[in-house]
Amino acid sequence: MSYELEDNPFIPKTAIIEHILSETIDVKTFVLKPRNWTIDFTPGQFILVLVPGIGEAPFAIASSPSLKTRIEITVRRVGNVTKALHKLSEKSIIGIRGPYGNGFPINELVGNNIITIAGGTGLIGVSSLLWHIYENRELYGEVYLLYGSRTPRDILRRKDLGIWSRNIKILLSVDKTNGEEWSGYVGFVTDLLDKIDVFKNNTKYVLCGPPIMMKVAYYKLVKRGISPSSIYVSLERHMKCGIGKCGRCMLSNGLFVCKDGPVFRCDQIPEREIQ
Amino acid sequence: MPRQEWYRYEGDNLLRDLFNTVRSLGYSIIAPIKKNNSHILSQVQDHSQIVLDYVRTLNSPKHFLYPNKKPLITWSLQDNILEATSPPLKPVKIAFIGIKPCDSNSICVLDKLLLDKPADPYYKLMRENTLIIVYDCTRSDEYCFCELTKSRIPYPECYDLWIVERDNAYYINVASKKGYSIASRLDIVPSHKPILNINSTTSSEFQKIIEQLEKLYESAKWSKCSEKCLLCGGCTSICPTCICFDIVDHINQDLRSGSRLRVWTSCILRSFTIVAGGRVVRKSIDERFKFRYYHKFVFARKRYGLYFCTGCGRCSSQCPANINMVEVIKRVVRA
Repeated sequence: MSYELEDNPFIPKTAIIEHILSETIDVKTFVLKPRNWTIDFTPGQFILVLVPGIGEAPFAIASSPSLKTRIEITVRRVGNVTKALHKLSEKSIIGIRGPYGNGFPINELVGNNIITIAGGTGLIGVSSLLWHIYENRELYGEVYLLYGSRTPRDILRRKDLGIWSRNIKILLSVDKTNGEEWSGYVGFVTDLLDKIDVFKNNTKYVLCGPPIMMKVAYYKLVKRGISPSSIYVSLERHMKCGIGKCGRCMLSNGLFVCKDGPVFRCDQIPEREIQ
Repeated sequence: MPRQEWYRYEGDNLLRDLFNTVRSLGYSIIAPIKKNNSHILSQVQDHSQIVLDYVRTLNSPKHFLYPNKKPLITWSLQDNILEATSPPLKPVKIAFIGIKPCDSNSICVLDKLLLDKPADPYYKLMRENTLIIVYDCTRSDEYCFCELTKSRIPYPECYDLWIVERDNAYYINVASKKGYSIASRLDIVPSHKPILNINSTTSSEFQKIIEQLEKLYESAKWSKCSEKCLLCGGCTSICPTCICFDIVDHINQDLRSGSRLRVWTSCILRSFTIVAGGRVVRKSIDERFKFRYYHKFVFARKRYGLYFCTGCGRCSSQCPANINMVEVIKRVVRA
C-alpha cells in the first residue's frame, strides 16, 4: 500500500517567468506569473524560488501586495541559484514556495511617519512596503526613503522610485560617482539622516541593507534617542526550509528569520543580530 | 478492565510476551542489541537478540524516525510543465522496545520541532505509526546527566508503555490507548506505583545554572571553551534531538528530473550560516560552538518549555576532543 501525503510543504507551486528586466550589470528583475494560482502576501514577505535541479533561494517579493496575478523579484547574481536564474529566459518554468515570513507589522506602522533606509539590494526588502504606503498614503504621516547605491549605475527599480516619488520623499546617495553625472549625495546612505528631521515621536524607522549599513543606521538612530522599539529591520539569513525546521536562519535568541521574521522590531532581537 | 496507570506483570518472560504481542500486531521491532563493543538500536527478529542491560546505544530513535538523506520531493520538467510530487511512501509500523527514558524524551523534542505547524509530513507519518515501549534506566555512566535536564522520567506524551523493574517484579505504566491495547493482552494485574528514586534537586540547581548561562552569551570564556573543538559535527549527528538540515538537489541523468533530499547538517559547520555573496553570519568557532548550547538550553526552554537535551551523554561520550557539555556550561558560569 502506498500513501499520498495530503500536505507536503516542500512541494513548490509552478510559475512562469513572464518577463525579464535587466536592472544593472549583475541584477535582473523577474516578473513571475503563477500558473493556476494567485498569490496573497503582506508587505515584507518572501518566497523561495526553485530552479529545478539547481536549488532554492529566498527572495523578497518586490511588487505591490495588491497585485495578485504577478509577482516580481529582483535578483543579484551572487550564488548558484541566482546564477542559474540569470541564465533562464522568458517562458522558463520555476517553482515557488511561500509566501513565507511575518511581513511588516502594518498595524504598528499605520498612523506614523515612516523613515525607510535601504542600501543596495536591501531596497527589494522594503519595496513591497513602499508600494503599500504609496497605495495607502493617507494612512501615514511624513514618509521618506533614503536609498544608497554603490554608483549611479547600481540604482535598482528606477521605475518604482519614479512612481513612489509622487507621494514619498526619496533621497538617494551613492558611494562613488564612477565618473557619471550625479546630482545627489555622494557618501554613506546613513549620512542622509543628517539631511532630514529625525523625528522622535510618532515615527517608525525601517532598515534593510548590508550588515554595516544596518549597524551604522541603528546606532545612529539610537544615539539620537530613538527607541529600538521604533526601529524595524528586515534580516537576511541562510534558509533551506522556510517553515522553521531546518535551523539555518535561527537568530541567537532562538527566533527563526523565516517564520518569526524576516521583519523584527529591534527590541525583540539582540543588537548583535542587527546585521 | 478499566484502564489505569500502573499494572504488574504476572507472567514468566515479559520481553518475550511483549515482543510476540507487538509483532503479532504487524510492527517491525527496533530494539537495543550488542554490536562489537557497543550497543545499537536495530531491527530485531527475535526477542533473544534484545539486550536491556546497556548504558546507551550509539544511534537513537532519530535515526529511524528522521532518517538522513530523506527525499522530500521528486520533480520532472516536461514540455514546460514542472511536476513536483511526494516520493511514494509506505507507512511502516515500527515499535521501539527497550529504549531508555532519555531517548523516549528525545522523541518529544523531535515532536516539538517537526510537528509544529506546518508539520513535517514524513515525520508525522512515521510518528502516527510508531509504538514506544520504554524500559526504565538501570545503568548510567560518567557522561549521563538526565537528572539535570529533567529527563530521567519519560514524558507521558511520548511513550505508550513504560516498564519498571523493582523488587523482582515488572511494573507497567500505560500512557496511551495504543499502549493499553498491548498491555491488556499480557498477563497483568492492577498495581500501585513502584517507588522510583529520582534526585530532583539536581535539576533545579541545573536550572539556576542555565539562568546564569543565559546572560553570558557574550562571555569571553566561550572562546576558551571552544578551543578544543575539531568542528567535526559528530556531536550533532549523534545527538538524538539535533535535526538541523540542508536540502540538497539531486538531478537525474536525463537532466529533466530529479529529487530534493533532506540531509543532516550541523550548526558547528562554517557553511551553516553562509548567506548570499559568501558572508558568514557566525564566522568564529566560538560563536558556532556556543550556539548549540544556547539553542538546547536557553532558546528551547523559552519557546517550547523544555530543554532540547535529554542528558543522554552521547555527544560527550563520543567527542574526539573530549568536550563535555555539562563541564563547559559549568565552566562558563563559574565566576
